[in-house]
Amino acid sequence: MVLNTALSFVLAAFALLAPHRDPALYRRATIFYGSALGLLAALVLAEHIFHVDLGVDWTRLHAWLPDSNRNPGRMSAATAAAFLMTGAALILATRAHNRWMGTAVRVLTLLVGAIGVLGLIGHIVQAELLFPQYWFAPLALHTAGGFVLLCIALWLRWQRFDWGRQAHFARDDDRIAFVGAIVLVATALGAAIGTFAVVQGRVERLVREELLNSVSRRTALMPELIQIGETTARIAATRPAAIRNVRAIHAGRDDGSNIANVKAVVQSFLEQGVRGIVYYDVDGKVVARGGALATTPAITVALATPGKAELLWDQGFLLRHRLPLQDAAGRAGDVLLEQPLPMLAQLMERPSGRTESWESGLCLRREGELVCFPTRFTKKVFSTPLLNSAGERLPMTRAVSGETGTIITADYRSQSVVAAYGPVGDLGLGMVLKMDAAEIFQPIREQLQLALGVLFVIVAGGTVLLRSRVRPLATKLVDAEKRYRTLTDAATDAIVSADSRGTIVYFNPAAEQIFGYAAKELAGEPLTILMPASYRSAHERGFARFLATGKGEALGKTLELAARRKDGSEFPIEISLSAWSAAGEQFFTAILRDITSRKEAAEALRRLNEELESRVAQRTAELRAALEEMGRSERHYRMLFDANPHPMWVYDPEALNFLAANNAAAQHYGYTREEFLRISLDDIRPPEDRAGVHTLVRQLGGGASHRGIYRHVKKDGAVIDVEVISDGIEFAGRKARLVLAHDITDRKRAEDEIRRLNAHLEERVRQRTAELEAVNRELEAFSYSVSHDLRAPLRHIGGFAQLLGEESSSALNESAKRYLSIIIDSVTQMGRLIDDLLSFSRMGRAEMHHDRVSMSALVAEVRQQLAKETDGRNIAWDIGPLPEVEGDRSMLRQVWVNLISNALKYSRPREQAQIGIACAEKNGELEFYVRDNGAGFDMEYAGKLFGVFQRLHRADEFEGTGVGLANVQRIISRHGGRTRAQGKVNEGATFYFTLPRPQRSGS
Amino acid sequence: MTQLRAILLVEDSAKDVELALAALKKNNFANPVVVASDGVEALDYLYGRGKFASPPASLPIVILLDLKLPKKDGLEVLKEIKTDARLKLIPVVMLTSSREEADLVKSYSLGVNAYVVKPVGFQQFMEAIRQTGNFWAVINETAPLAGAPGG
Repeated sequence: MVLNTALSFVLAAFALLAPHRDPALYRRATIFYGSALGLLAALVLAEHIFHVDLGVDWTRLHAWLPDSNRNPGRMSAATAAAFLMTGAALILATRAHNRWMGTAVRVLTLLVGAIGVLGLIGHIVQAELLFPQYWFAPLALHTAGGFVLLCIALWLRWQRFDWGRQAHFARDDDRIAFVGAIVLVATALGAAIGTFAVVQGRVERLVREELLNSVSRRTALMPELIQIGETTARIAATRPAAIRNVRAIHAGRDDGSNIANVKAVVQSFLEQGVRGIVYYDVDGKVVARGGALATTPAITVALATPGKAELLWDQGFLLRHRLPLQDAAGRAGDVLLEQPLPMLAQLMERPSGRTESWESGLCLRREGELVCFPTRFTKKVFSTPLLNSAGERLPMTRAVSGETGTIITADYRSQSVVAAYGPVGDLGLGMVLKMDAAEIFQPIREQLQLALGVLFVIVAGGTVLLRSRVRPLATKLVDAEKRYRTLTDAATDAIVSADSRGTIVYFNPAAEQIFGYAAKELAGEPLTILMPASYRSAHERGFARFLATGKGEALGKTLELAARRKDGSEFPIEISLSAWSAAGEQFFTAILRDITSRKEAAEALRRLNEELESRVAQRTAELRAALEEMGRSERHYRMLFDANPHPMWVYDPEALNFLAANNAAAQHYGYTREEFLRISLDDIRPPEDRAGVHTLVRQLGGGASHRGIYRHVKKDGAVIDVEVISDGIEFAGRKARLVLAHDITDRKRAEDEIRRLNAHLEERVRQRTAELEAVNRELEAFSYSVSHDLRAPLRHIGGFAQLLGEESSSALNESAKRYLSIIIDSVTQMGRLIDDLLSFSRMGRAEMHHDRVSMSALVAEVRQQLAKETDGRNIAWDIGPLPEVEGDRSMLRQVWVNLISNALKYSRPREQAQIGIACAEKNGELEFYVRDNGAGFDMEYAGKLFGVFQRLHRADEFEGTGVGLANVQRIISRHGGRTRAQGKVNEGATFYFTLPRPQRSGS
Repeated sequence: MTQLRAILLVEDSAKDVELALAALKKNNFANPVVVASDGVEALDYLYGRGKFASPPASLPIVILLDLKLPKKDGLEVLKEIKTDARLKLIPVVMLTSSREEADLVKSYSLGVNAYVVKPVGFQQFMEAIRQTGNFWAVINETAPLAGAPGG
């Protein structure tokens, strides 16, 4: 495990330990750790992907660790990916609020676990050998295990959240199938892995053994081969003929046969297989050579043999010896031999039947590194470091160090190989035989793949089978459950289930509504929460008894009890209990309903019934009384009918015959009762009217009431006028008409007389009116000419008097002037008199208009009109509200003019004139008054006030004609009112007049 | 037209005429006053017939007309004046002692321009004459009278 990995696990641990009670803190902590984790992992992943060193690997720290990591300190890509996913899951988890995001988080978590599991598997089956590209191989065992733990921890963490708890599978059968599939997979996988692990181990062992044997054989054989070669060299070095000849040649004594002999020797060696041979004389001069010597061997290895052999490579193994030619006489020279070692080449060759990756290697240690002979894969001499990329010693290194053994490691090609190594004798060489692990385990891999394929098929098939078997079952179950659920959820009765501890386990929606709790609130609560306090002890006793004895009195029956709502209110319930067991546990279910309304209804019904009873009794009594009453009224009726002074009868509207008649009818028409009942309507009508009767009766249709005046005929033939009032009645079970007859003969006669008289009267009235109108016209003409003609001389008198005064003012003395002014005043007086008389007479004659007159408006107008007389005077007006009256506007105006100007006139001597005008209702009439604080009058002479030309003051005291008040009286009496006056000398006067209240309301 | 137009006074009572003239004089009306003693004379004057040789050079500025006249009474004269195309433009003021409603209605319906009741008191009469004359002879704008030469 690398430091970053450890660090990341620590971060993850902190994230898991974040306090979840405080959501805000939890969120922040989780996000922090998740982000740190993710960031680190992302960086390392980037390093892997882009092959750059970002410096997060703590390389220096890891330098002293013997780690087979190519990039020391760097987390494997898989680890980084797993941590990245962890970080992402943590961060997402804080934001997850719906199922989609929850699923994402859980998928990430599962992936982390998957990585861990794969890592573990990899370790178990040494998957890197099977699959060289096994990505999860670099996962350390504890890292993989750590991921699995992390996955589990995270998964448990997500259970705390709603979205983590949501059921993946809505249906049990899906869950069963899924679980089944998991089980299958786990089992099969486990079995497969186990088997393969075992097989793989065995295979490995076998391979190792074989390789080791091979190596041992070869390493044993090689020295022998060398030895053989050396022997040959020794022979070459000790061939007497050769030596002799060489010596001879060297001595110069060669006659050609020596050289030939030497050449023959050379030749013979060449024929033996020696590649090259050179005989040197003792001076080092070449005597004879044959073959070819390696000029530039790729490598020369000194073998520690007695002959100081050298192993060369020059397109093949060559064994070189340079030995002195030595015999008893001494050294004659040297011989240089190079002989191939085909056997060695053969040894180093891939044996037949072996696979592709088989390689043999022969190397030695030189100058701190390995120098190797060409191999199958490397066709030339090469050198390689002593340690492989993981820092471990190569197999060859071990071999040249004298160790023998097998190892699975990365070779100089950085491939995983199974290698057997061993030193080659004492030659200082090492030999390695190796095969790529991938190749060795190829068959296993293929088998594994096959097995996985089969496994997949089995799992898939098994799942499908399971589903097809389980689904119908599950469907049935689900449907049944659904039905049950629907029943209970939709039930209008409350259904409550509890377990053997008395804790509520089910609370249906109807119960929620009735009790006012939400089902969630009551999970885990005891049943007693739903009962009134008074019931609880009884319940507990019964409950305990049932659990103990299995017998419950309350079970299986319908009881009326009381329950308690969330708000504490109690209400009556009808409840039935049952007990049942499932999975070894005891459950109880209560079905109850709120019978408050029922009880109330029952109570109401009872009350209603009582009321009904009393009412019935009452009604019966009433009925009895009514019947008695009816009997009495029947008698009354009979009396009324019979004793009625007016003729009354009942006739049948179809046949027109009389069904009943009273005495008056019979008498009046001159029949006896019996006779009357035998005749019909036709008989009492004049013949010419009979058709009309039929039509009328038909029109009336029997039911309508009718009133009319007809002529009837008495028995003696006398025709009378009768007013008939008839109506439809039911008589003796059939439709009939009741008739009351009024003999109006006399009345009619009287009416006719009156009409005649009226007409006559109207004629007389017309005549009289015409006469009156004529008289009026005469008077009119009279007053017209009077006014006109009388005024003219007056004008002249006055006018000329004035002119005279002006003309002769110088000539006149004071008394003359005085006389003149008297004349002028008299003229004026007379003029006024004439005007007043004229208006007085006009008032009497004039046609009265009937208008709605506003008295207050009128008074205001009159005041305006008399403004000349009020100017400059101190007058206090006290005018009250005045109503409207009906009358002649101009006449009433005259009344006000007269009264107010009188008030003004007679109050002139006062410093302040006080004039009051008001109206009061008296005896249904309106009484107006005008009051002043003027001169007043003596009540003794009140009667004379309203007379024409009557004055109670002297003309020089107060001017006036004495007509005004007479006018007022005349007008008021024409309006149907009365006048009166009240006064006291020097204390003012009040003049009253009444008018009737206006009849109409509204205009 | 610098010449003052005349006031035509139609009144049968000589005394009333005298009073009226005195009142006009006292009020310093410079207009000449033409007096006709009955309706016929008034019309003859206006039309220039009878004892009048020709119609006046300029028509009167206002006619003061009494109701009660012999031969043709005031209403008849009024009617004739107000129906003549030329004469109806002259303002006519009823100057009479009658305040009868019937007279008022008839006069106004015939188109009289004003109706003044002769007060009994002379002072008031003077005042009435002054105001009437002042208004109708001085203040009021008369209609331009066509037909009379030099008018």
